[in-house]
Amino acid sequence: MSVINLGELSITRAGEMLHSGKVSARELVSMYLSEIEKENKGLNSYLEVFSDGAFAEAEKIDDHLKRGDQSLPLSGAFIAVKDNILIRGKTVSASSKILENYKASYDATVIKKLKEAGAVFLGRTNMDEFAMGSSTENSAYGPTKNPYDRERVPGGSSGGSAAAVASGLAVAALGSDTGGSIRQPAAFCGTVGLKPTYGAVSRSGLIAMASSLDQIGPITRTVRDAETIFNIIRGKDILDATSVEYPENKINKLSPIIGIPREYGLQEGFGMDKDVKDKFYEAVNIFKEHGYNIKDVSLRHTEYALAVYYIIMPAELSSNLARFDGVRYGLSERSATLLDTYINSRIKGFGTESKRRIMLGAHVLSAGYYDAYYARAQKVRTLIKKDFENVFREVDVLMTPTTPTPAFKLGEKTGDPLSMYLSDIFTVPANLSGVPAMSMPFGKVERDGKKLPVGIQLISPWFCEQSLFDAGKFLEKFND
Amino acid sequence: MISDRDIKKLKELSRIDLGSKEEARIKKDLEAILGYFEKLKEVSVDGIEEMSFASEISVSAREDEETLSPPEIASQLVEAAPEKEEGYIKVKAVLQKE
Repeated sequence: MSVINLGELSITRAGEMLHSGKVSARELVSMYLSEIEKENKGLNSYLEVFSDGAFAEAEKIDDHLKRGDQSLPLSGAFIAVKDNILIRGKTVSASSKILENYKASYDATVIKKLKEAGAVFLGRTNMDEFAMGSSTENSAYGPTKNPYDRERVPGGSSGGSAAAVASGLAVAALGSDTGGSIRQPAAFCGTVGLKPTYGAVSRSGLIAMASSLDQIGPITRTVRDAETIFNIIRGKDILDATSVEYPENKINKLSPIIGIPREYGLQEGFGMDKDVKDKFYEAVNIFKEHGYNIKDVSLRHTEYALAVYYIIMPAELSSNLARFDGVRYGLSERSATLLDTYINSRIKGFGTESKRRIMLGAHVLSAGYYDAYYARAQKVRTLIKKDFENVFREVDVLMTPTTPTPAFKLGEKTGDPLSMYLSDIFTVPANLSGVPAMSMPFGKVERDGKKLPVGIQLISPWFCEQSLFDAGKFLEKFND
Repeated sequence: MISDRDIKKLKELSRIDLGSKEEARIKKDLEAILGYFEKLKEVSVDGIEEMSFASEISVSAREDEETLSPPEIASQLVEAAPEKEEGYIKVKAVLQKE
């Protein structure tokens, strides 16, 4: 067995090595587990490692390979799973105290599909409680650290997943993205992160946050790996009525037109970091130099997207989190009356950010405020979606920075929720309108003597993920 | 902008309670966040429909048929409840004698 650098391994490469017999799945699992053992204490990216299960799954893969069975498309996928996606028999807590001892009674559809394709699950990863946050600091189990600088956040809410992939503790990971929770941590950790088209991937078995925005997607080291996982997990599922049959190859232009929306921090505002902006234009120029047509475009209502998002998301999550009542499952503080059981269980089980957003949701939906907040937000959401419909008549792909800044410091924004929310400013419009978007690493900027990754976001029309993969694979060659 | 009465009502609606320090903090945060929402007043929304569905394709309904899950599913779901009895989830009485 030759030396394998887990930090550089992709699903493609691991699959090749397994098929050629260079290494067995069992050996790779054992390498991952010893690396996790060494590194996880400092990073806190895994909340739990599935040692026994991973070996059992790896042995099955090895048996398949020994029999010369080439039918498993995902042999080579040693995957970390965000702690809000159900794996039968495993604890799934959404990084909340209220679900600390909850065990999943069924597999999420994405898990079922990945299992059938030959994936091995290494463990569950840390996140902001119920996916509410942009730094993983809202986890009830302590923050995850950024592998590039442990004084900094990995982003969130899928911070544990992104940090695991970035530090070679998994070849790929699953995350969920409601307002940027895959793409923002992918950007901060120098990995690829895809938020699929709304409805492309089943949400059955995902602990719901905001149901009109949530999507499950991959966090990977290469664009090709993101494509591989996406092609396996997508498709209609009877258990999720919002999932749809994925339309095959809608368009596939050889030379797509790339739109640069001027509202994404490129003219003024949003606290856009100059170095990140320079990197962004470096990437734009690469496309330009290679004959891509670049077009300056406008998405007029972008500046309202964050306000719309912070009305619609809490409204939906306050309803979704009503099920945590100390009666059905999870933490229960048994009290004198049923109402006290509800209240006491929720006081003890939810962290401050959850309470804040539940109350915010209750406020925007309450009588007297509904029209001013919720109804207005749903109307502006229509306008934001129309902006995308219009711009995609002119261009095939949009290109923006994923975040205005590189990873910020631990504790920097915890005292001021609004400033934390603003770090999602470039990612929420894709969730509001349902279009797919992918963040990919492009170069680094230096802060305090540490090199921090920069993320470029590509956005395409509904169900045109292929355009993201094609443009992404091209740009990937120039990432240093 | 957010009164103590509002906070009391929101706590009731949300089925939560807050310590005094946490309450002061959340009240301040909610005020800042609601202040940020004022921005939306700049947008003209006359005649614009609310976006009630996120999906391009209309949500599909399934046939209204009875489908039976294996009995072990039901027992697993009940098993997850904090209090149960004879295959049922046990709940405190909702109505109480005065």
